[in-house]
Amino acid sequence: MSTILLWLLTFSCLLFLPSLTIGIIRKTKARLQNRVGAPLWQHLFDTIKLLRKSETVSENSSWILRVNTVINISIMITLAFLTPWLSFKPATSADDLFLLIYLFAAIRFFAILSSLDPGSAFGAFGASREATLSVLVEPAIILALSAVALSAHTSNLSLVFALTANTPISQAPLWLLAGAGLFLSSLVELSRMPVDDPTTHLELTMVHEAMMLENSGPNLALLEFSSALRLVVLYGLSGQCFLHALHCIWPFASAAGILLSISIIFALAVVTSLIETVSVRLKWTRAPEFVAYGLTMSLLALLVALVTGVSS
Amino acid sequence: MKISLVPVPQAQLSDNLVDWLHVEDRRLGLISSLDGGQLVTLVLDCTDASAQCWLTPLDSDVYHSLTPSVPQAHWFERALNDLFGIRAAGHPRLKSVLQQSSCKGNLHPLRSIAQCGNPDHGHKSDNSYLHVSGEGVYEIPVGPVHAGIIEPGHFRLNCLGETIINLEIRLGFLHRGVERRLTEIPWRSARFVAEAASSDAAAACAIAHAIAVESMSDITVPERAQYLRTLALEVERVSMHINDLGGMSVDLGWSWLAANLSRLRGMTQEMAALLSGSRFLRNFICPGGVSVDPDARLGELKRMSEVVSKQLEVPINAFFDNSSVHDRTVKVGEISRSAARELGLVGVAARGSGIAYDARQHFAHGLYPALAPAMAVETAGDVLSRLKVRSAEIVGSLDLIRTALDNITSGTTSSELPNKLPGDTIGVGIVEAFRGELIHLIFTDKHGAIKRYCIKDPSFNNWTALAIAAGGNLVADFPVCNKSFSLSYSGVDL
Amino acid sequence: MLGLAETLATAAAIFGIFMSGCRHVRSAIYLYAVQTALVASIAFVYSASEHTGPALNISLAVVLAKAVGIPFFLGWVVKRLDVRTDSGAFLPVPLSMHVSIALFATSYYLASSLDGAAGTFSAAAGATASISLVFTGLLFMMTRRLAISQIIGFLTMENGIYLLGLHETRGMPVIVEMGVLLDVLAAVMIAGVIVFRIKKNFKHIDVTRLTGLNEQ
Repeated sequence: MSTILLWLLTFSCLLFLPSLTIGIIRKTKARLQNRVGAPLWQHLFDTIKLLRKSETVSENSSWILRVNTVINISIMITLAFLTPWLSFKPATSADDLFLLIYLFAAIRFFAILSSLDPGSAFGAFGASREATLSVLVEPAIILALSAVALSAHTSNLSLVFALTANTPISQAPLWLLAGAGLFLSSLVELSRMPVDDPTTHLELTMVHEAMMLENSGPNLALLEFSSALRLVVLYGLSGQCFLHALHCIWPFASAAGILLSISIIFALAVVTSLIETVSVRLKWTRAPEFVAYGLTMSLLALLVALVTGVSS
Repeated sequence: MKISLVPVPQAQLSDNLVDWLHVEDRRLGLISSLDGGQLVTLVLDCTDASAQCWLTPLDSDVYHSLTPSVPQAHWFERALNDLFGIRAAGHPRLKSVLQQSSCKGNLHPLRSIAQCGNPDHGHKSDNSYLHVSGEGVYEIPVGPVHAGIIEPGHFRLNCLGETIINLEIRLGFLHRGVERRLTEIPWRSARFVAEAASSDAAAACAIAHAIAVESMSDITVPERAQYLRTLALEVERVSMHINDLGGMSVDLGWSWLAANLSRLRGMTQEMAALLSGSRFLRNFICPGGVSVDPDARLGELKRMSEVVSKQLEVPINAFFDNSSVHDRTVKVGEISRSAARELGLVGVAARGSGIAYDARQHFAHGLYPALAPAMAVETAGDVLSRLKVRSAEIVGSLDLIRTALDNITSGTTSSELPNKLPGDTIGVGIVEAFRGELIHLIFTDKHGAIKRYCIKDPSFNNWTALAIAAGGNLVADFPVCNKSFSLSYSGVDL
Repeated sequence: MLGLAETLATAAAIFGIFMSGCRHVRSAIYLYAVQTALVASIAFVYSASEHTGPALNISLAVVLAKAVGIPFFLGWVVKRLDVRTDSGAFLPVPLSMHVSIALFATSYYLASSLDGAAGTFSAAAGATASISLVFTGLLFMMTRRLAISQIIGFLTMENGIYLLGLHETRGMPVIVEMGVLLDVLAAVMIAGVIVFRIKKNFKHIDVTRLTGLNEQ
């Protein structure tokens, strides 16, 4: 019985959390600008609307453009089931840290391929920028996750992120640093401010959006949904790190974890909208500096993991 | 300002123009033609606020290009080629300013029937692009349909990696025939078309038109109307400058500032509505004065201008205080002083590059030059200095609005207009629009009907500067660079 | 297990590392202020736990003078001189942040060899943070262009030395603390004046360009 409930809960989180989180980011941004803003579920409405629309596909594009969408969404859903981004998960499977990293890389690889496919200049430089950013940001994500994996002595993320009864308070800085490193890196990975502006209409400045320009209709709907899912999974992962830090200081019941793991995603969404309201988009050549901050957090987390691992 | 025609033979035109521009405070107003049989060159002298109109008769459709010796003539000559079919031989790059779609075949919209003796005189419009070749060089076509709701314009960026090597701008997708239309309608109604030449500068266009008409028929404008015109021009300047700063914040991705500035822009439009009844200052200024007297609404206008200047302080200070803004705007889109002078830049772009030229200081319109505010000049020539000039002008204009409202006199707001314009005269109106120097030049035939109406929008001078400024910058910085010039598409495509 | 003081010290060191990755002078000053406030709060924690002297007064004085006063003064200098960014002299800024992480690791091994820090991280954390702050300050002074950054680097080093003293002695006598505070204040004022003079004479405060002779 409880397994069915867990499956239901996971499925509904997978279906509705992405749209809701995007909705929260947009709504908060609108409220911060004194606007009413679109309804909270606008992202879902848009997805449904796009699914019903017909498609316009560039005549210069090949099957890659279509296949990308399928690969993208299927890998993303797999990732959403593998990754312990919520405090609950129906089945513990082989969710190795490096498997996750490479699945994320596979998504990016096909996204880059598909944006090069129609031969449009916008898609091509979007792809080039995405590739540059991912080279910079991938080490930060790997290091942050390795740091927590190192302290847990396993690379199975489900075990790493499992809440154990007694965690020493000295683990808190490690989780905090890893969470911060992951969050800063996911801002870059998800093409959000200050490295990319998801709301911009200027094609010349786009990174992620430029790669999706050639998609329309159901294709676009699935890609939009996939990137929203990627957002909640990455926010969920860094949220889990913060929750562990909290658990080190104040051990909460695992039932509370379910609620907390969802609300921390919302909290990170609010933080994102705050960042996007007050920050100015960085000059493209300055983007590596922002990534360097994420890398620094991850490196420090790794250092702390190494040092505490040696001493304990 | 009364001006007369000075005949200048074709052989001397180039030398005369070079000599004229050699003096620091002398400028080239515009180069055009009446019906394709001659060149008309308007030159301005800022020292005594005078202007001369040189008439150069042409004996054929081809003349010797002025551009090699006077670079700023290049766009005028390209326009002459398309609009009149007069070809400048030796022009370094005579590409079309009009697109094929708006100018079918060899139709030259402003060429008179009499001049079209040979309809197929070999003119071909040149719509080619300059291609950069080499390893890793690629082209990005942007427009003419853009993501935002803006006018059509095509940008062709030749890039190497993330750096722009060459930017080519193609305009002229929507030729409306404004200049020709202005000669066809009764001159009393011309103001409605004239102020729509570039509608975001409606007040400036209307004032330029009014001054041109008034200077032909010696109409004195009542003092109260002069005050109201000044107010209209400055409200428009504040409104559009705030709009441009807001657009800049959008392009920089700073939504908090963009939201604030767009709210303040709305307030300045309310000020415009208080003054004229129209948020865009349409149908307010007419030859002879202004069409309505705002009377009691001026008190509310003063209160609002105070509120706006108070509320502007925080966003403007935040803008220039922000280090990331500095990163994005310093040494981006640079135009050197010498380049600015050679290209004959006007307005904010000129003042941002250290050229102290503001038509309000020299040429009479509204209460100017008596009430002209201190000029804001920056020397760096980059995006930031243009922004600084813009924000300084907002403050200056708001001060000016308050001063004008304090001293405004009572009385009538318009004077009688004659039944017809005098024959064979030239009227010129020079106005500092928010983009810079705007010129309306009117010629009448012997019956007093308008035979040629010539408009030089400030963007006419400045579009080339954008193409030059963008080179060598990051592709992602182009929108910021573009926004800092804030150019009009329709103003150059009349 | 890390004590409160050690945690605060580590946080101070981490803020020091972030500071070394700051190109914007004003952000560097803010981060310096945060780092100093953390150091001052350690002084409070130590004196409160050891019951030595008027703990609150001292740490308040330190906070007011070093974490509020000096940043304000430096902020004013920066505004007057109209300098914003310091793009680094020979090490790119993000890289200098990573070098200071390496220095953080180095300081851990240095700190472990100190007396009283017997092998465990928690015991060595305070000393690690202090030595790391000294290194970070030194690196900051070495890799930066602007004279104002030299002052910030110097102050960070001073924070590190102060923290080390605090950590090893578990709270210094009031008179020593006051003396150090006064010295630092005087040094910053003098340095500020010198920076103004440099700006006046050279029209810039770029120390890498000070080797060239300038004719008045």
